[in-house]
Amino acid sequence: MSSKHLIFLLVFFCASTSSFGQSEFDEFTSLKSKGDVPIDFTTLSSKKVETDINKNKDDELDKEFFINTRFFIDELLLSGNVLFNEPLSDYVRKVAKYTLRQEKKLFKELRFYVLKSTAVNAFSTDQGIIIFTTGLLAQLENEAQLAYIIAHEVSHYTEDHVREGYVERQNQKKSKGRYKRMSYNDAVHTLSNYDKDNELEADKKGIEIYLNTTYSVDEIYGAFQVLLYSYLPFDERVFDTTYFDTDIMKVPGSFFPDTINQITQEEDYDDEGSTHPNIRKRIDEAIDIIGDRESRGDKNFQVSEEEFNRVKNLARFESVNLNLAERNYVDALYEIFILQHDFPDNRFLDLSFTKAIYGLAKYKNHGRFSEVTRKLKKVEGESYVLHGFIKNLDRQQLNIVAYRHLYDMTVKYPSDKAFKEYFDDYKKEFCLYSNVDIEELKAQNFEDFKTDLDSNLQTFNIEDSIRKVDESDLSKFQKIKLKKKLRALGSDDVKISGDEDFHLFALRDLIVDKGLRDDLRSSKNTYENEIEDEEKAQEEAALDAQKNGHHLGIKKLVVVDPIYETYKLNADRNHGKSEDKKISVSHIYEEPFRKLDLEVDVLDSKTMNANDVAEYNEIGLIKHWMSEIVDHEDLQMLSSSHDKMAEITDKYGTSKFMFSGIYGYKERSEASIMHLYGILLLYTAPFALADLLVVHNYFELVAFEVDAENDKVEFVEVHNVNLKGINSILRVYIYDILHQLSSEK
Amino acid sequence: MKKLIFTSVFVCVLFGAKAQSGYLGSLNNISFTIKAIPSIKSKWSLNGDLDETKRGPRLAYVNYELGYSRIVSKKIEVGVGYGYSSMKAVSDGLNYFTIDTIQLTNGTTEFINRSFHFLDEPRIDMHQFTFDFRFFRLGSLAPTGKYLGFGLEFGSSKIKSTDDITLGVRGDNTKSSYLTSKYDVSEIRNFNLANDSKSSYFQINANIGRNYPITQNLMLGVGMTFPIFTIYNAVNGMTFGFDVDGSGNSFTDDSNLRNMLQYTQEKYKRISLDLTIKYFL
Repeated sequence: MSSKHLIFLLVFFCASTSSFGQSEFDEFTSLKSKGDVPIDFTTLSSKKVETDINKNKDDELDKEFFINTRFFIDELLLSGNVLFNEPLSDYVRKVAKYTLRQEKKLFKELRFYVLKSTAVNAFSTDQGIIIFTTGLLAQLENEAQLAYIIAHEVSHYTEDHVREGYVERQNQKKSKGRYKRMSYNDAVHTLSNYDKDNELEADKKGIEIYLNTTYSVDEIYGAFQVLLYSYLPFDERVFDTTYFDTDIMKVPGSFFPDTINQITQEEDYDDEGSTHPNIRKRIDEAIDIIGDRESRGDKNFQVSEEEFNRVKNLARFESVNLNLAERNYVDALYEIFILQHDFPDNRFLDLSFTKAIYGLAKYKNHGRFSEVTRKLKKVEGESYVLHGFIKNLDRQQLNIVAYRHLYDMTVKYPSDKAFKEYFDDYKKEFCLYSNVDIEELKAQNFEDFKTDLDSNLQTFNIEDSIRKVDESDLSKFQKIKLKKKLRALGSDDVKISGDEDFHLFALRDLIVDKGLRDDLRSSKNTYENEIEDEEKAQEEAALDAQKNGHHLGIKKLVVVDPIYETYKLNADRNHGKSEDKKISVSHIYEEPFRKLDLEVDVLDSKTMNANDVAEYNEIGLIKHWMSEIVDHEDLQMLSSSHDKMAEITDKYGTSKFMFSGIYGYKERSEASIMHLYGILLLYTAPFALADLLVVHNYFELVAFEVDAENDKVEFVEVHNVNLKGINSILRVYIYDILHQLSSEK
Repeated sequence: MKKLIFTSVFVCVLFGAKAQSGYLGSLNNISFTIKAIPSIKSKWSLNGDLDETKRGPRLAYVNYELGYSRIVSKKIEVGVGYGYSSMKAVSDGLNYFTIDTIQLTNGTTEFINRSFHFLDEPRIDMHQFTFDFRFFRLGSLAPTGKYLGFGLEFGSSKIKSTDDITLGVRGDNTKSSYLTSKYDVSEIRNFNLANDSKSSYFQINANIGRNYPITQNLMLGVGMTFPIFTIYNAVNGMTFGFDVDGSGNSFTDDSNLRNMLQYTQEKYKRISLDLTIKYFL
């Protein structure tokens, strides 16, 4: 083969790879697990507890350790938020394999997963599961830093820190061993130091492992720096004050803060009471351990730099998703701003931008803005400018900025349903709640307006205007107000720039070319009538529901991972029983009730098998979607996962999703005056005594149904029942809920 | 009152029909209830040779009821029922009969002046009609779980004129134990009633209980019924004539017999333990 051919093939291959990579980000929606569901996810927690107790040879570990740890970690694994067999966890595994290449047996014991979370963290369990968050992968600068963190977490596993930590905590709780006769404060301090010692030990052992690799020693310190500044966004980039500008709308620079809050985090922060030593101590310790030793290389990448960048970017894209779901709209906007540098015109980022600005406007209009924005004094670094800008916009300004961008996105993506849905919903919001006076919107160019304003100001005679006000028919108070304003104009402190009115000119093309004013006027009337009808219908439905229950006429329903938790009399969770009952409840939902015309599909994380990866991903997505809707409370808006739910809706042939939780608990009645009367009245004495002596069983059932078509909560039902939650009883309540959902008026 | 009850039930049934899912979709059920009223009384019976009368334990008075119930709202169930008890009258604790004289058919009188006991207590049939209203409480959904309720009950009982009343004089105690004892019969006479002996009652009761689902059609109920207010009505002025041994000779003394009828009803209308099987249609 000639060298020409070889070069051509290489170029072709690189171009293909690159275009594949780009397309992956173009089509990004969210990270999903792939392949077979690992056994860690498909084995029941109670089975794990049983097996591990039988294998345990450590006398100091009691049954509670296995119960608490296995059930806790399984709750996380089955949340749908843990990634496996996909690029992120595959890459982590590859780096781990290289890092532990001299410890092959150890590597085989370990399982590496990635958790979708904005937190910057990694942790290991005594079972050999090591979990990294997407937040951490989004922050890392290179593969070497990841390798060090892997080595650190593996050391926690090899040194049995989880098991030993449990024993130490038990000793502290029971005042045993060195905690005997120790005051509470001293005990807490001792325990904190114990945890810090474990961290330093993991650092030491981790460094030993790391030094066997060809990664650069400097990146150990780099990893510590990543952790130190992990509270900041994944990159620090000066915010572009023209970011929100469009061809028509120019946002004046005066809306952006001139200065930022500097980054204050120091390495030597106070770590009193913390489980981790501060970064200064860790770096010092690392310097001591490393001493004059040299690593075998100075590489930042060993497995693949390209793959690292891909994984980092995927994690960053997911971070946008997570921030939107957590309603951190400004943080999401800043991340989008950073990512758009490398991914301009990316659909996911454009859609996320739409969602963020839509969310901000919604919360602003309904007086809940503080829930989705941070106090400026708590924001550090370059993102301060964006946070400051969003805070500086008043309600009308923010709404017009949002309208402009949401509209422009529908023009940029004319056939994309997702953009249209957000815009359509927002248009309604704009007409009804934005407080924007449609008549005030200008058809003029903002720059022309400013020029006219300048020339008018130069010829404006304040004294003459005051005289005219005096002579007018205005009321006393109107005159006072106007004259005050006019006199202020004469002051040197007041400069009239017209900047604060920039938003009134931001829709001028739509006013001129599309008849926006007429459109908004008629839409407003339509929406107002719709709202009136809706409110009336809702009121009637609520009254009817109170009397007769709900009648939603649903024919198909998806029940999502029903929860069952049962607690003992001492309020401790009964883990084993909870797991069994959760499975039973899922089966009840699946039962073919003879008098019910409703098809039910159940997604249950506890009954998954290896082939159920699609269901696993769906559970994760639906839970995110539902959790965000719950956070919105009574604010009716499309969630940030609205578009992603469409695929699930198509698959199951219904947009109706139900969530239910049953919480069983036991209580004794507290003695009251009624008991005394009951005992004194001879005939009722047995009842009064029984009520006092018997342990009462209760369960609380909460269920709600959400329509993924419009993200509306259509049905909420809560039962607080003084009965034991046996299956035959639960069946009655579940039937009642399904009946209300399926019956028609 | 009747109109009010009828109207309430009618309105509830008509307009509340869609308000609830009932038991797995069934709003109607038929039920069979056994009511047991604990007893510390005894019962008397004759052996086949009529030479010995036995006092045995009467652990409970038992009543059987067939009912129909409908769930009219998420919390309310109403029901109607027909109940029947076939029971031995309760003579224990009543004064025995003192028969002074018997009117002979020839117009003369036979002087007896002896005390007679019930050697074998007569059988009484009691029929009752009930209306029950149950309110499901503490989060329970009708008809499952815990309820409080009230009931209206109309009933009557009678001793048929065709039944013999066996009275006699007890002789020696031949056997005695904690629960049973036996006596020789020294004299026995059968008396035929001249006409039926009747008594009726109206009762308002309260009930408390709990229903447990068993299958998709069956439910088990356990509960208690407490009488709150009862009116008994033994027909006043009725004279009971006894025909001695079918000979036409008779005596007239209704008081004890009538007392016994009402007394028996009272025993049956005390606090009862109820066990119900419901079948959902």
